[in-house]
Order: sequence, then structure tokens, then C-alpha cells
Amino acid sequence: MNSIELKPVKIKYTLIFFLLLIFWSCRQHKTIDIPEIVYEGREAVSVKFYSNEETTDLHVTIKGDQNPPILGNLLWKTDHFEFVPLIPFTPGLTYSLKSKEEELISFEIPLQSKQNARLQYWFPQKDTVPQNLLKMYLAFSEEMNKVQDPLQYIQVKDLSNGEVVPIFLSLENHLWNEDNTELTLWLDPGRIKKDLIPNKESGTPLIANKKYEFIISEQWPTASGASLDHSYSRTFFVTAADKNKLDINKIQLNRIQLNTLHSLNINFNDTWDLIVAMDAIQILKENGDFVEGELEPVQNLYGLKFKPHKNWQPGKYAILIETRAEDLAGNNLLRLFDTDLSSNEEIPNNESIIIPFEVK
Amino acid sequence: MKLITTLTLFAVGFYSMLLSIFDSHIWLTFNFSEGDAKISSINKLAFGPDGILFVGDSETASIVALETEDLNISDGEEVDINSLDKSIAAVLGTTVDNVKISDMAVNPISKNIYLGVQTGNGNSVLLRLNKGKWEHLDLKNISHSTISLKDPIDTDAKDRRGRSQRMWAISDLKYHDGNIYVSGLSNKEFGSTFRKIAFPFNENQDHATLEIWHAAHGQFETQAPIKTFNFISINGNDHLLASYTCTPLTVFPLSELIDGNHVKGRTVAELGSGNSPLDMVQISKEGKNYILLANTNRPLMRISKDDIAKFEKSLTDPVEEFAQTAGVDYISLPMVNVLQLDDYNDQNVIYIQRTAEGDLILKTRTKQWI
Repeated sequence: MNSIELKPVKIKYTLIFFLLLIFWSCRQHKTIDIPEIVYEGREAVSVKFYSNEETTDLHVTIKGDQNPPILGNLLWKTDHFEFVPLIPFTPGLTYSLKSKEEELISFEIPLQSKQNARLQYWFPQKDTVPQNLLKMYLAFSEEMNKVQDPLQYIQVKDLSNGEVVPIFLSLENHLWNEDNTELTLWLDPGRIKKDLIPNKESGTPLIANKKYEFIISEQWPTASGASLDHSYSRTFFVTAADKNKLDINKIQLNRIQLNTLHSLNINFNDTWDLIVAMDAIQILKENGDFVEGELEPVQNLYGLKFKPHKNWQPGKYAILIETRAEDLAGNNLLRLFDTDLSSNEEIPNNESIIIPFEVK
Repeated sequence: MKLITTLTLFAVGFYSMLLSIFDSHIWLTFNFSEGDAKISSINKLAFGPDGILFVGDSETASIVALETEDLNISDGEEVDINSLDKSIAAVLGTTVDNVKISDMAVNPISKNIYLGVQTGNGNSVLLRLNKGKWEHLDLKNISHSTISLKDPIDTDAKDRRGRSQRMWAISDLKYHDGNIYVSGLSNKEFGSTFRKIAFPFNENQDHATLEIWHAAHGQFETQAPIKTFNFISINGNDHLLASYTCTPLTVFPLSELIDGNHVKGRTVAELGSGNSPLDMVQISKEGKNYILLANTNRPLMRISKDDIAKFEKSLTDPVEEFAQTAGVDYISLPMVNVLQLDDYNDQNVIYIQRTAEGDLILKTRTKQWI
């Protein structure tokens, strides 16, 4: 009788043991293998992991109790999950993969993918600039951080007294090129144009006969969270304001040999803004077609070099220059940057100028 | 019988209204297509009719119209978010120094708040605050229509040679009466650009050159970029109300902003030098209409639209003294470092502000105190 009474008790305890074992086993299944970070280039674009958790409960946060789920897409890929955040994971941060509030596993995005940027060039490259210099260009080897204010990484020092002078125009949207490698910096035009309020209050950004040092901080961040490879510095001397329009009569061309890929050298003999000039100049054939090729600055920085894609053929050609081409002070082929529009001087409005040449 | 007639009339009226809304939406979106909107940078946002959101993309020099399908009518709830930048960085899984809010717009139908967010690695994200939760709009798969800003100097030949378009920073963008108006600044040649683009987009774009009187020295300016603008009716005619850096406030008749025209503006105020306008909205309260102007170095300004309309002359005298103002009067509201603002609902405006403690906040505020 006793044994009959004891038997169910034994079964009950055995069942409880197995249930606990199964539960424990299930609990163990919730443990997720080390997540695999997926890279595209240097960017960590997603994370793959294995789980038997309900997808509705799974999410990724920055590691920490109070952080909300990161926006993105959780995808089921045959035998694993993949979480694709809206923007790539940030190097140096640790993330948690969570089920409801419970952290299943954490993973860190390492910093080693970062690549320091190099300053490739700055325009103008000359060591003398006019007092009414209008803009500068900086070009980097890497994509730079898009949201940081570039002006916090740039200093211009007046070397006569060592003071840092704010010469650049502060803009909400910084003027980066499409791939975020070239930046245009405007010297404050309101200070350059005579008699405007900023000009009257603060004078021109640069003062003639002074020497300045332009310093770029190595702290300037790249898009991937790296920085510049080192700080950069150069000095330049400021000459009197340039108050002359560009003069195409100063342009000289080299002689081209037939059936060669020789470069056409367009020597301006003037201080053209070569970055604008590369956009504003094209080479035309006699029939109006464009000659395919590339323009690049020449070594002496007074001109451009046109490298044709195909050998030169005999015939008449022309250089088409849009009149918006301008010098370092913003004076273009038609008018001065600082023009008094109340004067009666008539400003022509032709959009381009043609300079013919022949290959024979 | 009378009741049946009334109900029938009501039903017919309601059906006609629905039909006209439906037709209007079809007309507005007939050239939209599903897919990747190919937006590189979300620099400016503005709502048009039917929940259509316009995105100004400086990097691709284009305007993209997005169908948000956000059409649930709402009066809007109170918004009160502290540490806005931290909140956004957290939902994007990044750090605050990697995040920049480029613009804010409120959907006038749903009262949901849209933010353009740029991140340090070049991504652009469009976020929507819906009932206190951040959502994102998938720009890779959305009904949209795009127009590239035409540079009047560019030639077709340039495109044939495969050179990229010059980039234009879009400084402001607004929808008004069937057109998108866009102000901008070139990144290579210093010059103000102002465009009127018909919506739905077609091949046509009007590009007018603008000239304003700088009260500094009796000098006209053609190249200063408009920072922010809005619209105002003067004697029954629509005008552009444009605010420039350092800081003329100028009106231009919209009827004159047609392609090829050179339009001289009438400067109605100098709002004090050493400052740059950031954002401009118009609001109504107690039956009167006002312009609100956020600034870099001055408090939020309130200007009566009636005062602007009544100011018939143009400033032509120099303003000699630093930060002195002239022309139409304004009231400085006790709100500094307001970075973005928009009309929210009948009772409130909404704004983003950097507080004295350095916190970035997003709040609604009653118009009684504006």
C-alpha cells in the first residue's frame, strides 16, 4: 500500500526534473553565438546572429539600460537573423542584442577599420594671394565627417601679432562636394565688398602686406571616425586687392602635334581660379562636337592642361570658356566681383567666349 | 422628406468633396514612381498639399517630392522632448557628435514632426515623430518624384561630357500655390540663386535674378544669398518675403519672378547687423498674422504682416551704427538660440532650441506667449 502511494510521488519528481532540464535546455538555446559583423568597405552595415527567440522581441540597442531600440530592419535569412541599422554601426561603440529587456549578447565595433585622411591639395597654392581673395578649396584623400563645422578645425593667424583671425563665412550647410572630399571655404564676401556693413565694421578679412599662417588641425574627423594624418600649416603673403577682370588676351596655347595624345596647355598668365576653370572650359571641334578629355592644373599653377582621350586630328578647334570663369578674387570675364551696380556701366551678358586654334 | 433631402444633399456634397480630394491627389502624384528616391543629403524640408514632403538635396542639386501617406487628420499633442540630439543619436545607434539636424517640418494634416538628420559618415535619414516615437521613412522604397536644379549657365554639352553638376547649397525651400520656391548658394561661384519650380514637376524651371538694396551705403546687391523666406500678400498680390544675412528683409512681387527676369526687391527692414536669419514661419493668432524669424545672434523676432504690408517705401538710407535697425518694427521675444521653428496647430508653434544649459530641446509653445 505504501509503495503504491509512493510511486506517483517519484514520477512527479522525475517529471519535474525533466521539465527543469527541458526548461534549462531551452534557456541555453537562447544563448546566441558570437554575432558576425558584416562590413561594406570599412563600414559595419549589419550584424548576423542565430536565435530561436520571437523576432518581435529581438532588437539592438547601444549597450546600456536606458537606450531605445535602434531603428533598422530585422531580417530572417533562411537560418539566421540579420539586423541592418538605418546607418552603419559606429566604430568604438558596444551594442546589445536584446530580447525584451534582457541582453542576450553584446558586440563591439572595433576601431581598427579607420583610415587617417591626407590633405591632398589646397587652392590657391600660391604663397601670395590678393587682399580680396574670395575662396579657398581643401581636398582630402578620405571622405570627411559631414556634420562637424569645418571652421572649428581651421585657424588663420595674423603673423604680425599672432592673433587668430576669423576670415571665413560661417554657413549652415557646408559646401562639400558630392563625395565629401572637397570643401569650399568662402572668405566673408560682406567684408570684401566695400562699404557693406561687415566691411565697414570689421574691414577686409585679409589685410595687404601682412603674412598669415593657415593651420589645419589633425583633429579634423573623417567620416569613418579617423582623423587627419597630421596637422597642416602653410604661410602666405597678402598683396593689394585684385581689381581687374580676367583677360583672355593673356591666354597662350602650346603647339599640338598631329596624331598624338599631346596635352593642350592653356596658360592663363593670370590668377584664374583653376577649380572653377576646370568646370567652365571645354574644347570644341569645328563641327561643334566636344573633344573628350580631361582638364587638370599645370605645375606652375597658371594654367590648365587638356589631355585628349583620342589622338588629335587635323582641323580647326576652339576653347569654349564660360564667362563665369573667375580669378581668385571672384572677378570673372565680364565683371568685377565688387561692382557698383548703381553706376551706368553696361555689363555684357554673353555666356561664353571662344578662342580658336588649329591642329595641322 | 426634408431630412432625406438634407441627408442626400450632404451625401452628394461629401462624395464630391472626396472625389475632388481624390482627383487632386491623383493629379499631384501622377508622375510619381515607387523606388529609391536617391537622396544624398536632406538639407531642407517643406510640406506641400496632401502630405507631400519636399526635400531639398544640396548634394545632388535636386528637389524630391515624397508621398508620406501620412494623412490621418490630427490636432496635434503637446511635444516636450529634452536632449533631442541624444534621443536621435540613440535611435540611430551612434553618438551625438555624429548627428546633425538639418531641418524640421510639421505635416499640417497629421501634425507629425519630420526631421532631416545628417550623420558624420555621410548618411541622410528622414525621421518622423509619431505619437512620441521616432520612425523612419524608407527612402529606398517610396513613392516620389525628383527634379534636378538647372544651372542656367550649364549647357547640355556639359552633361554629355559626363561631368557632374556643380553643387548648390539649398538655403531654403517652400511650397506655395502650386510652385516650389528654392533659394541657394553656389559652392564655386559666389552667387544667389532663386528658382520657381512648378509642381507636379515638369521640364520648366524659372530662374530669376534678384537685386536688393543694402541699407549700408545706398548700394544694390545681386549676389547675397537669401537665407530664409516666406510669402506675404500685399494689396491682394502675393509677394516673396526674403531675409538675408546681415540682415535686410525684402519683398518681391511673385508675379515678377519669372524666368530671365531681373527683379529689384523693396527692402522693408534692416534687422540689425552681426546676425544671420535661420528660419522664418508665419502664424495667425487672435485674428492677426505674424512672421516669426529665428536668428543666429538675436532672439526670436515677431513681425506683424500688416506692418510689412503697410510699409510702402523702400529703405535707401545707410544704417551707420553697429546693430542698429531700420524700417518695419519688430518685437524681440524672450527666446534665444531658437534653431528651427514651424507652425504646429491653431494654438501652438513648435521649435528646436539650444538652451543656456546646452541641452537641445523640441517643444510646443502656446501662441499666447509668442
